[in-house]
Amino acid sequence: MIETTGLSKRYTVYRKEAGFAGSLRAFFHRQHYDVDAVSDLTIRIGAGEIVGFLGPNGAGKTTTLKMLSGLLHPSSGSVSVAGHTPKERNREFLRSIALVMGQKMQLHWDIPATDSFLVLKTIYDIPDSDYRARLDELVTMLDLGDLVNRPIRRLSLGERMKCELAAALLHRPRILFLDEPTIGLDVTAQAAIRNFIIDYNRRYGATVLITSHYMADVTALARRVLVIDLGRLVFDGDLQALIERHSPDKILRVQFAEEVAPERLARFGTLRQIDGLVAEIAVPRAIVARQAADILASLPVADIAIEEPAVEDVIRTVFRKTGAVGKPT
Amino acid sequence: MTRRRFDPLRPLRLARALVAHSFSEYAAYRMEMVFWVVGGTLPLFMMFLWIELAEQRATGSFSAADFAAYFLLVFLVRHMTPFVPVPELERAIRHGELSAQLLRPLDPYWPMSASQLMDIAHRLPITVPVVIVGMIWSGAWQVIAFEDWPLLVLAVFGAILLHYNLLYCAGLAAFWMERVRGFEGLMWNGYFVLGGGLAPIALFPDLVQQIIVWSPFRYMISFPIEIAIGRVAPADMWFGFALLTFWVAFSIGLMRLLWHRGLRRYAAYGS
Amino acid sequence: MRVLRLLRSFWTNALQVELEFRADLLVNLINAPLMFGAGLAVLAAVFSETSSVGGWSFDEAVAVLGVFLIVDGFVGTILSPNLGRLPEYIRLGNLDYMLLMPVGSHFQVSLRNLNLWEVPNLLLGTALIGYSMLALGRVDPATIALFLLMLAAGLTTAFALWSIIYTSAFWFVRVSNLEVMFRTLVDVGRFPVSALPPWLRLLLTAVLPVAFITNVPAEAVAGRLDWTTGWLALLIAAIALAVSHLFWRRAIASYTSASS
Repeated sequence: MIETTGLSKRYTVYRKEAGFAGSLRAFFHRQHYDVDAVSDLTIRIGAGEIVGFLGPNGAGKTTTLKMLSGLLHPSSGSVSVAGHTPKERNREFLRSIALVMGQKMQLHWDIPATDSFLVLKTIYDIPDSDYRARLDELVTMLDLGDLVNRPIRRLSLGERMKCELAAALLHRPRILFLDEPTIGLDVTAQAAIRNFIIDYNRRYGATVLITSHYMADVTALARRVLVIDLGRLVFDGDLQALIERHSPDKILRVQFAEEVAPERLARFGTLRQIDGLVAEIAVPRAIVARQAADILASLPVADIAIEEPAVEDVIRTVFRKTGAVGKPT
Repeated sequence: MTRRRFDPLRPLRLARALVAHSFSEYAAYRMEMVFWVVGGTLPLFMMFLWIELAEQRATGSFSAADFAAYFLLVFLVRHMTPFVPVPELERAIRHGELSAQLLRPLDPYWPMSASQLMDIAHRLPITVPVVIVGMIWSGAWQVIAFEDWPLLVLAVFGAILLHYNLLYCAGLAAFWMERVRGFEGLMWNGYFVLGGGLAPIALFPDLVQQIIVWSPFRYMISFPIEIAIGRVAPADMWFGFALLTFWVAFSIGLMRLLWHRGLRRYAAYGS
Repeated sequence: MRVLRLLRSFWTNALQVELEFRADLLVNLINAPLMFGAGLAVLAAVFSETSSVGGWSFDEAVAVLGVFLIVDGFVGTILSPNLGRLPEYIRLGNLDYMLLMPVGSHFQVSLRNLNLWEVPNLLLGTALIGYSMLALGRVDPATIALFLLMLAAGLTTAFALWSIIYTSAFWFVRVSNLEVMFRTLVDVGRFPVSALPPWLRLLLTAVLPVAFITNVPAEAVAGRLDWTTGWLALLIAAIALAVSHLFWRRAIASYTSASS
């Protein structure tokens, strides 16, 4: 369904020094340097797959999505989506895809979602009968109820995102690109959206490509994960298994009610850092719950949280250290 | 809570700080200013139109030189038009930035005024030379009544103040309305067209002239220019300044009213 | 036709948005007559000491003012709410969404919105045209048809120029200054161009075809239109439209190759 070979995107960035002298100098001679936002990306995604696209901020995820959806021309390499070349943006191609960008709204701010949906209905030539059925179904699946009849500006961020998803799926695209869809949402909303995507994929077999810098997004949704770092693909496979093998620890973030000597924390796990009353302890996954209970019982704890290691940390420890593209085993 | 000692120099220090801040803000937009001035050349085009008209007819109450002087001055005054209040107020009120400003012990009117002064000051280096050159080249400078300069200064000051206040009021409408740009356009039509920006008021039909002379529009453009080209009779001078004073007072009153009412609404509903 | 269906959908939607801003109607109800009255007052001023300006009588010059008001209404209803928002679309990402739709992007950006509140200007301008026709005794189908044809050409040219100005927003961040310049010239075009000094006349016909937008339709009303001018107006409209569309395509190509 989605195939790329050696896909790359290079930008020329202009550098300017601060101050008026710098502006003047820049006016006559602009210094520039090249940034490889995406380098040599080669991937194959089959129909109906849900694939997570993981990486730190600025790794090249959004750039890749834009190239796959035709919004950006690649600098080099080839890309084929649903049998089309995205950058040509022909009608058939556009009808078969949808892109939802986390921070950017497609729906009109001042009017209810349904009014915006009607315009989409005309744009995508959705027959009346299909439109009603699809709308009802999406509203049910997303648990929107009457929210689609309220002006968008009166909805919460999570509700808006759900409406955006409904808008994107009205024309039943075969491929759904999601760029950071859960950013800025609270935990409940994030879970709701993830569940919806799984449900939708199961019902309609749509291919879903979702980018995120939240590990939880990707691990909840996708078996298969593509990890991109500094523009390069560093991993393609089952990430959960890889993490559990290479990054076996979870993080206990503990806030104490009073000062605790670092030595006393050593027996719970590896103390990563301690800053005043807050300590971060790396604990093997298998025993993290037990250790947390232990700490709560024996030390004056004000607050405690069990966290996944940040994507950046995982990537740094697993991939940059080895410097090699990890192959799933 | 400690009491502040009465500090008579505070307003001066504040003024200096505000002006200095605005100056550096505007220095960054130097290039912009050139564009803005180039864009505001309608009075100059009108000047050419009217000079052509004057030359095509032998007699008339305004000679070609009169028109040249008139419209060069319109150009100058037009570039003292406040551009700041409406968009700034709209942004502050509708996007909640007003809250931050309200926390400071300073009415937003003053920093905005400093900003506006800088806006005008930055255009003068471009507009004044154009006007001087134009005056000399067309011989229009001979029409200028230089001896009336104190009254002229007073009238110009009044014009800018009045215009600024009225636009401030238009901006304050943002407390109640979603979009206030419409008011700005409205004021423009009234002020520029009726106020004498496209044609001297003296040439309008009598009925129209009567209305305009009593309205605030004349005092934002035409009145200072009429003084400058010596077309205000002494009796009329008193009348003119009286009305100018009235309208300025009215604008201040309207501002205070809208501000207080608007703040109450803002506090009740948020932005 | 699909185009008509799309326009109907776009504009019903746009109306729904505008209905949320009822205060705009109030402002316009005051503004339109104000502009109308002020425009007439200025015209009266121009004719205050003469009965012929640039060879045009007052009743004929009223037609020029009428076309000017119609053009202003056109700018307010179609041009400003659409192409005028292009910089915003680029900045906020709406343009990306437009590019993803299976509808031409130039079409979407140009005609997506409709600001009905600016219609009063259109109506008042039409009223002035009507007055001029009556006063000149030229109310006949031929004149009306010719006027409408020239008006359509003029509005198309205005659209194309506006489009070219705003398409440059892809490269220049602040386009509003170009727009102001354009509007200034159109403002001068509210008078018969023959009243202007020769160099200005040249500027408004050969350099920027403003005269074809405001004056030529009025010439049709006043019976002053000659064949050459008429054909030229149509030709200019066609060329301008083509250029604006090509420029747009070039801009999108650049946007999709260079943006992030």
